[in-house]
Amino acid sequence: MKISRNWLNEFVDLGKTSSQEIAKLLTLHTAEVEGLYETGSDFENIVVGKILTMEKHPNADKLTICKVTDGKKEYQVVCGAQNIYIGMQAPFAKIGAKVKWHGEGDPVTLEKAKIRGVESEGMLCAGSEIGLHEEEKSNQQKSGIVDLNDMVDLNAMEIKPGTHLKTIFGEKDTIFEMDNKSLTHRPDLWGHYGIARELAAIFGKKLRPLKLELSSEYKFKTETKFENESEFAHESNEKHNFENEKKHFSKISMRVSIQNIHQCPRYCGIALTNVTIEKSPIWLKTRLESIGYKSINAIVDATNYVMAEVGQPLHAFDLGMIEKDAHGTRAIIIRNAQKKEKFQTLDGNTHSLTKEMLLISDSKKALALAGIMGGQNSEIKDGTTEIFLESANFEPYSTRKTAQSLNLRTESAQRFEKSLDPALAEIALKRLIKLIQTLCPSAQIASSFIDEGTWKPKKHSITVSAEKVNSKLGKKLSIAAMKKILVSLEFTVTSKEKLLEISVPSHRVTKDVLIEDDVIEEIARMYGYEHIEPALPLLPVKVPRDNIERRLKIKARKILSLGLGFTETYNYSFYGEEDYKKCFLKSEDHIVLRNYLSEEQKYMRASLLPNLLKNIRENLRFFNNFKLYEIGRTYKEKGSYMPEEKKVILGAIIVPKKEPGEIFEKALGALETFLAQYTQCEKEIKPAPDYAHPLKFLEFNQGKEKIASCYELHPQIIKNLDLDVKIALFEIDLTNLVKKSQQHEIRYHPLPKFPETSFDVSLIIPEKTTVKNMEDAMKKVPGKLITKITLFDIFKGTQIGEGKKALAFSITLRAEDHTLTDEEIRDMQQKIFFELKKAGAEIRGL
Amino acid sequence: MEQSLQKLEENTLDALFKANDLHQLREIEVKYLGRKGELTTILRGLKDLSAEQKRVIGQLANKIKIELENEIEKKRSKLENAELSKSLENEWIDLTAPGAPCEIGHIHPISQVQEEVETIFSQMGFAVMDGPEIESEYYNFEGLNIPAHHPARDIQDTFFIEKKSDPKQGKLVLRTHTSPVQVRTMEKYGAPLRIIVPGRVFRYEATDASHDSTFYQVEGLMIDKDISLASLKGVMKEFLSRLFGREVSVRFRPGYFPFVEPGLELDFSCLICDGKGQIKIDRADHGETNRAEIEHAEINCSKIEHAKMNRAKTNRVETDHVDTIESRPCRVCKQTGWMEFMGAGMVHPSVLKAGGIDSEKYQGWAFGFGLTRLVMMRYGIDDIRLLTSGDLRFLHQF
Repeated sequence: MKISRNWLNEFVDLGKTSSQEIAKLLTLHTAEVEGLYETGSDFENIVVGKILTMEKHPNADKLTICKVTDGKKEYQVVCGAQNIYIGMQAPFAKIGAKVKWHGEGDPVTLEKAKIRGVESEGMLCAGSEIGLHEEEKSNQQKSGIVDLNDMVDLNAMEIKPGTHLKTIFGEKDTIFEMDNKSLTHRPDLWGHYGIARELAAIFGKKLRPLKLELSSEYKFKTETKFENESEFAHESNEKHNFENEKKHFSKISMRVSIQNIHQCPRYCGIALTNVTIEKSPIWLKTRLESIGYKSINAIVDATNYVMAEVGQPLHAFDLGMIEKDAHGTRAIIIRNAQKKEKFQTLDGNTHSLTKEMLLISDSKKALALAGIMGGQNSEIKDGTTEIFLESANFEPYSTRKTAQSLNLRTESAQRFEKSLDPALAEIALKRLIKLIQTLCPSAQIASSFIDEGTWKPKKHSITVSAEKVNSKLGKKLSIAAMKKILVSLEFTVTSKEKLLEISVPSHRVTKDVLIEDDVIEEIARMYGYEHIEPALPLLPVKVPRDNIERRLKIKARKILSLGLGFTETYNYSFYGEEDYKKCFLKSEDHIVLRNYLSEEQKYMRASLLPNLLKNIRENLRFFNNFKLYEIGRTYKEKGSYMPEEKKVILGAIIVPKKEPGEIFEKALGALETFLAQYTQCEKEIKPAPDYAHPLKFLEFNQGKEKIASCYELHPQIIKNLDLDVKIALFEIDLTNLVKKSQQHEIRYHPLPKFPETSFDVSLIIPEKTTVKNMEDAMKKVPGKLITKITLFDIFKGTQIGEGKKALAFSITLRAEDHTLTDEEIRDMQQKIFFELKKAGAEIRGL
Repeated sequence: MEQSLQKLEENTLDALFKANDLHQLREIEVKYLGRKGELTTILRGLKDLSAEQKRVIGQLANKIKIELENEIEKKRSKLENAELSKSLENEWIDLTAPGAPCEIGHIHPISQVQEEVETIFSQMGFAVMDGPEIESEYYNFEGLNIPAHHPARDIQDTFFIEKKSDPKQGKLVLRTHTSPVQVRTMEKYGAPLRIIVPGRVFRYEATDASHDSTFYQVEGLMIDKDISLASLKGVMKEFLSRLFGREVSVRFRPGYFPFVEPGLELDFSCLICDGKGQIKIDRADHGETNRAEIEHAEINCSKIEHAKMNRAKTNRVETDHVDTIESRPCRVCKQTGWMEFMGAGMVHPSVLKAGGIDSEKYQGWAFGFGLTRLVMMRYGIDDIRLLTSGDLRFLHQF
């Protein structure tokens, strides 16, 4: 929302405070000012000049000597532009004016000068030379003098020689850009008056009342409804049971009936006749344009002006388009739309409505989408002479919903969805009538002042404990200081010992200030958060609750990245159907998003595999030998309301196809090294899942708990994804690992007192006999002398023979209580050989 | 005989003096003092002498022998040293060549900063908590005082799960913030509480260089008897100063979040301009380098760059005159001197109530900041999408 400093100045005297300071204080006390910029200019000594005569410069081809009048006096001016003509009205800078030469650099003060021997008493100016902004410039020929005769959309009456340029292009102003998000909870801040109220409180200045009293001809019979200290309220919150004394005002008979009182708690309106639809005067036009509104005509502009001023959206209908009944009464009905009712808004779009949407209609047709946009059928047209002005209050949630579903987030809808104060409806309508009277003096009030609805002013009191305020602020404020702040914001305060009894002003009671804590915020922000000094809380030292999983995760990263050379990646929690199908994952395992950004992000990941494979594929453009892992969650349906979230580590080793050796062994080695840091697991050969190579899949379990698995990626997946590498992976169930690692204790074993001895044995076995078979066979040897069996080579080749492989083990022997004798060693060797042979091995070299 | 001994001594010393290497030294030793050497030869004559002479000459010979042995030792160590120096010279290697490659992996930058954040808060007594990423509407919204029609619940912002909703818990959503863990933790542990919750959050939002549908947040919550805005300022100042490794100041502004009251925005002093909004630049000789460095740091806004810039600043102060220093607006904080950091405030009584905590007895504050944004700021990462790209060229830099 854009806020004009000049406009604010009408309600609060901002004096010479710099705009930067105002922006800063608003940001610190009220709501964020995102930026500010200056518009207009002082146009000092620049007026409209009219060219009376033109003659060629004697000494220069391209220069012209003009006689220019400012209405009082004639001046001789030398001009170099080509677009000038006799009778042209243009910005005329007199001696002493500040202009930018050729629109560049800093402004310089114009002096009397001789140009090629001819005296020039001023200058006819191009837009850029006097700081007209881009929009004005673009209307003009480039580098030409501004032709004010061309500005047909301006009120020609005001452009005559001598008119100060400021009245045409607006005086210098600063526009503050408020961050709308930071106003979400403040229905009172959606107009200049609300911001002015805050500034008055911040600066300790008086807030000037809105000018609402109508000229003496129109008298309202009034009764005071509020007992509020606020000047605003004093001036305005009067109930006008409009009963005009002069009969001709009643010539229009109007009736308003609200069918859905929940969605429309208050509806005010009035009919005006004798209206002429004209362009807005320049001051109105420039002011609206300065805050980003487009000028349409004086009536529509007036409704927008009042909205920007007090924050209440208003609407003007062409009265002639409202249906009359047999008695000549026009009825306004506020009703819900029928299912699929069609309605054309004034932007020309036709909408299909739903039953929840609220309409303003007459006895036959809909006239407006309540609180959002008027209809094309009743819009103010050039020939309109009778109008009906609406100032109502609509329920925020339904307005918001309607605006959203029709994609019509208008200025009006944006305000109603903030919970506007219904008291404002009346104030705004009076302000509007007053403004229209100024703009269109012929206009006459032609109906009673309609005020329908069940809304009653709400009196809301809150008891606030001064101790609580100070305890929450961490500050010692006096009750007097708290009172002063609250009073400056128009709260009524009485205090009893340490309790403040607070009455909330009407404009804050709809949403924002309801409980003690809301009042604490008012005190805190106005007192100034900058006065709260940082202090560490005085709390007992306490060791925080341990989070074993976090610790374990940090350790896992250190082992994987800093120890085993894997690089960590992060991936999205979702993927597409194609992604999981390519990895042979089952569709029934997947949780689906109702709203998703793209087909590739429709399913919650049930496995880290598809996204990690994407990482691999992307990286293959630059690398062909690398290791990746991700620690992340997988999500699976498990029947209950909350789905199952598992924390998983997935690691992958990628090597070029031609690299010799089993890649499975590499992944297995990494996994075994990793797991050894946490716990001991049993390796089990189990049927492989679909995504794993059917013969290269191994599970690591502890009791019944699955801790990890290691596998080579199924060759079909490699093919599906067109990856020209070998990939082996391991997957660790972090949740189970956490459980098991807690039971894992490290115990020290005394260092051996007697020396150990070792020997190697090389054997040949059928290819599919396992290493484990051989290890088990060796372990059958009785006694406890074997302390370690290490496989150090597997070899296949023609020398060994078809369908066979060679294994080489190193076997370590030691006795706890003596040094082994040669005889004992020989005996052990024989026993081991015996068992190996029994298990089908052929011992090499025997 | 006495003379020949002295002659031997002289000759030996002379030869020693001339010896250039260990080989010659060895030869000298053998020639004069060896078993078949000259000394032995001379001493063979002892048997022809009287007992008295034997004693005198014997003593003399012994003395000379010891003396020569010492001299040989001296010479030996001298030659050995010389030899070692010479051989070291032959072991020259090209020190500019890179070392033998060692394999090391990399930890994702978000993990690294998250661990740092967790460590600082743990040291202040905060426990690290966790919660589900697929969350109920109740915990994500209602429990946090965000009623059904609140703008934050718009379908535009929230991912919904395709599943029947629960009468009490509502629909399932991907959590839009880490705040649901506030109520979950209150329910589980009650007051007092000191926790942080780092975690992944989701927004139904199109992705570009600075927005992503997935990012990381850190939630903080402190509840006790006398917890105030002053202590929020204190704790955040400590945290940020430790994180950035220098004194940082913080300020509050009014802000609006339904689950806190008063609601605040917290900013910290700009690290580039020290909260001044202006950067001083040296116009004199090194000016251009300085300027380039500062500009680079402004763009990157990273710790390392910052340190560099500080150095640049110090250098200038030592060498410059006032008239060569100009200042220009700081782009990083847009001249405000402050960096927007997070939303915070005093926990709303409705939230305490939802968590089963008596708001008459306990009060506290909560905050939430973007960990992803912090990571981007720390390392000068200009595109959020890199963080989920899995691109090793990116990941290898951390």
